[in-house]
Amino acid sequence: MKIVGGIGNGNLGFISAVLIIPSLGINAPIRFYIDTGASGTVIARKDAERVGIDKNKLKSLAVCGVGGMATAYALPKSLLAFRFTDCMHIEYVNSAMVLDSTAVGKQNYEAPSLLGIDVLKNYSIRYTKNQVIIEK
Amino acid sequence: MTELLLKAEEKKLKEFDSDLKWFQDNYTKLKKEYKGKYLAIKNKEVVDNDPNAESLINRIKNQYGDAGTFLIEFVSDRKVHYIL
Repeated sequence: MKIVGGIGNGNLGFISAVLIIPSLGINAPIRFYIDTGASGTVIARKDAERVGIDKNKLKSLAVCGVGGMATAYALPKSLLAFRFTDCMHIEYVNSAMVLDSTAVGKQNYEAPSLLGIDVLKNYSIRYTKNQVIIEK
Repeated sequence: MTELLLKAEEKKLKEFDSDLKWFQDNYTKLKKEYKGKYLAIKNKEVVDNDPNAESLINRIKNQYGDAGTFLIEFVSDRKVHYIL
């Protein structure tokens, strides 16, 4: 089974998945950049607002990354629905969070959503010139 | 029920990916008209734009009830590199 994604900004690979959060009534597609250096999957502020996640309903937590300390919001149990070449597949995600970009400035509004190692550990990843291929 | 659910997700992903590819393929053309603005894209069409993403998303929600299936992308006036 494999997912074929694109190559975007900075020659980084990306794939799309539908984020499903039953307890919040969320069901919408998001583009995720592949980030094997991220310990967990992160939903960017722009995507969170677009799909209708209300961070005021979530528990806040302090996080630290290359941008320094920031506030994030833990998502309840979530699912990611991926489109493989021949079928759909669902991954359960227990530790995804919404990053509150206001902690690091307005410009960070453009930061992308990231697919972290919590999901990627189940896959092998390889790159071609124009594609990222994620296989299980 | 699960099969029906996944068919709905598959359709959403196909449309979302199609809009994303359209945005990438037409970026140079879009940049001439929308530099410095966020675009709301649906079915390979720019349906709205605004220099402020939050305003744009709120307007889409008010007009269409839900912004979840819209692609919201920024057309930068300079090249921005992601370093993850």
